[in-house]
Amino acid sequence: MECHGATVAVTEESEALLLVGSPNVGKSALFQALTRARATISNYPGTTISLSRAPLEGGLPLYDTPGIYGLLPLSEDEEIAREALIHPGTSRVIVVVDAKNLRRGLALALDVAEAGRPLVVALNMADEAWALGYRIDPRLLSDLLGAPVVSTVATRGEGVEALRDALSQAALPRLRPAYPAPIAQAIEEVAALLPPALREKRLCAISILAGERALLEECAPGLPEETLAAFARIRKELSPRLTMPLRAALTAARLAEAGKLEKAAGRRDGRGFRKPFRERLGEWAMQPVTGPLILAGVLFGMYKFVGEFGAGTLVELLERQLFKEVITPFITRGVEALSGWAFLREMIVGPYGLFTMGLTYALAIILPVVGTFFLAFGVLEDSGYLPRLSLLVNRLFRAMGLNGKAVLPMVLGLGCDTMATLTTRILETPKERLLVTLLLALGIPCSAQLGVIMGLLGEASAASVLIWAGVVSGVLLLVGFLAARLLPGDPSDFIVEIPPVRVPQLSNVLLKTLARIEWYLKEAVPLFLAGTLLLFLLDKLGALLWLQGLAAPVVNGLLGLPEEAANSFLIGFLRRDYGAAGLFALAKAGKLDSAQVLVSLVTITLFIPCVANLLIIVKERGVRTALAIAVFIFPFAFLVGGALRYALGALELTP
Amino acid sequence: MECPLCGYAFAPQEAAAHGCQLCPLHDGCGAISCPNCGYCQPSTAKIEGRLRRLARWLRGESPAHENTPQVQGWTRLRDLAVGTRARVVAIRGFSSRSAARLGGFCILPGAVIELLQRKPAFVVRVEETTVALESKLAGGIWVQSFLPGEEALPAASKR
Repeated sequence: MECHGATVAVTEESEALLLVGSPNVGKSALFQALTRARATISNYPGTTISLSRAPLEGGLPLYDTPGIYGLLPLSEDEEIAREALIHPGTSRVIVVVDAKNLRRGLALALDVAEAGRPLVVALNMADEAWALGYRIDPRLLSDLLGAPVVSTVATRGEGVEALRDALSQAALPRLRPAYPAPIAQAIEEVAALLPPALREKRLCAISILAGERALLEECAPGLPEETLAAFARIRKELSPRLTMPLRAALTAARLAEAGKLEKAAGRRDGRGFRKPFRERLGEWAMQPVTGPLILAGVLFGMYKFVGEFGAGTLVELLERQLFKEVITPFITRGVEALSGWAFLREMIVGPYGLFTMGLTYALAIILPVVGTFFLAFGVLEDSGYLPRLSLLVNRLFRAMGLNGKAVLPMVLGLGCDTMATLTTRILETPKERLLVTLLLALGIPCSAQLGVIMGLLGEASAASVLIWAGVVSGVLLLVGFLAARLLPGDPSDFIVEIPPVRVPQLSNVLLKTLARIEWYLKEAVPLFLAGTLLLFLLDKLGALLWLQGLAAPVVNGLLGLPEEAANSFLIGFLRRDYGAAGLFALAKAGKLDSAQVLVSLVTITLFIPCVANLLIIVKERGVRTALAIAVFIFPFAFLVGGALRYALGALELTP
Repeated sequence: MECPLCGYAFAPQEAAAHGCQLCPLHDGCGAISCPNCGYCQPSTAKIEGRLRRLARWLRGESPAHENTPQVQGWTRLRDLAVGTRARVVAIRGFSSRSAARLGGFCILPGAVIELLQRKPAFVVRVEETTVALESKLAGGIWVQSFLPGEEALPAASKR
């Protein structure tokens, strides 16, 4: 396998194919084109992290991976991609390259080649490169590199057939970057000490030289002490002979090699075309005056679409007209006809009925809000707006010990905090991941909750909305500010790639939205049903009144709310949005005045995250962290609520 | 350093290994716990550094990256005018992580970059890649402006 130039035959073992590449090169689009969008989410064997997986024609599974900048990972999602790459089942790799950033992409391909897997290079977005005036000869490039190169436009399906055919000719590139002599020598020395059968020997050697432990333990565990000592010695001898840091030297060597390839197989005629309007829009979105204006426009558009259309029109249509008038009476009649047993009847269609309460909330109130939010988020994501937003808010996030990159999980949290907690993997340091996890759990209402809250506040007054938003964002800033100072660790530097502005593709946005809605329903509906069942049983056993009495000192004494509000906080343990929906019902019944609405909403917004989110926090950050977060948030939410109640009273404000 | 309570002399690393290990905040609080008696005193290292920097700034000296040799014609990216192109000559004062990130974007010595904007964050273009970075980092990227006429030469990547 260390041979230069020979085309390595693909072994017969149970195998999988992998798509790798930098972020924003169209991997997912290519994934969809190759698999005809039969994508499902599943776990990659041997890791706990989900990668997208779908069968190619011919039955081999193809995996889509998070974007990487290199094989010495800087964040958790890059680690996931590398783990997938060195998985024993990974037999062939498609390196996706942005054709207009050819040098960078080829350098990454040379990096990936160190993992010892035969590969094919896809020059994606060939149309954009062409429009910019780049002319690349894939055949010549392929000859020089020693592995197939195919030019593709994934979004239009161009070249996808050729790429599929080229897979059978996948090869380990014979071209190898000319690393500075001391590094090349050190790599050989380390590689010679590794097990000879190891395919990713060179990659492993490089990572050892870079001082990484993880990869070594992954591919060659249990090496004798002397070998480890020899590694340390080689590293120590190498460091004084380096003229620049190792990573930089490796990147520079690969870029130099890739530059030669680019020069030989590509040229540029003309300067490309006039700057399109959307590029200028993209520039405005980043600038001090126009940026906030565009942000205000985006927020207004989101409010109109999600708040008014989703939470207003659609909910009205589904809840009032479809459920209340058609489906519920139908089910009620059906249940009554089928069963004379009052207990069962009440369990399904009673006031705490699985159908009348649980399913109706989930499908008629929450689903339209979540659906419209994910649709809007998908459009923002594909347009390239979010990285520009991260640049705009970087300063603000700095105050909370984060940098602008954290805006992505925070905005996604407005859709679903659980999903957002998973995306904290894109952040670089453990401190940032922990901070964002905490802030998401504390004060970012998910779209379901937001929809209910907006519905309630909308009927109150503009002042209520302002006070609610002010208190919640004030708490977020304050807690972020303090936690940033108290938690150990450092934030990372803000360096973000700004992709070109693109017109989102309808099919892609729709597919993503559907996948997210599916995830949401799978997660939410069982919890809604479990929560309803719990309430129903507690009510039947008479424990509900007892619990209300128990919670009275806090709910009634501290927050000044009627005792029934305890129900909402009780189910709030399962889902915050469900709790908010309970408050909605209370307010509708005229049992809350405007100050009480405000106090209860602030409390439920800051209330502990739903069970699903808590479980994900356990999975991602560990039990201790999850417990600490819950123990902090639970009393804190009530304290803030109580403080707000007394502040409103003292200032004699009636919002 | 010496504990003001019990007089025990110790190195800050020793404190981190003993008293601070038990505390859930670890070393995030900025206080140093005496390994002998546990008494906490504030660490003065950070504030001292800040005051020194303030004093230097008041005296009109340049604050960061003093270790960078002043070479004729070198400027920081931070001091470049918007819309100009320049060649990167050195990357200083970066963590290895950030330097690797920049390298991944082809921002390495020898690359030709164009400054697109500076506020609220710096945005540069390298070939067809646009990258945003905060001003602190723009102080660590040293560039050499093109001489008159030299800029007309095709950029390194577009020979």
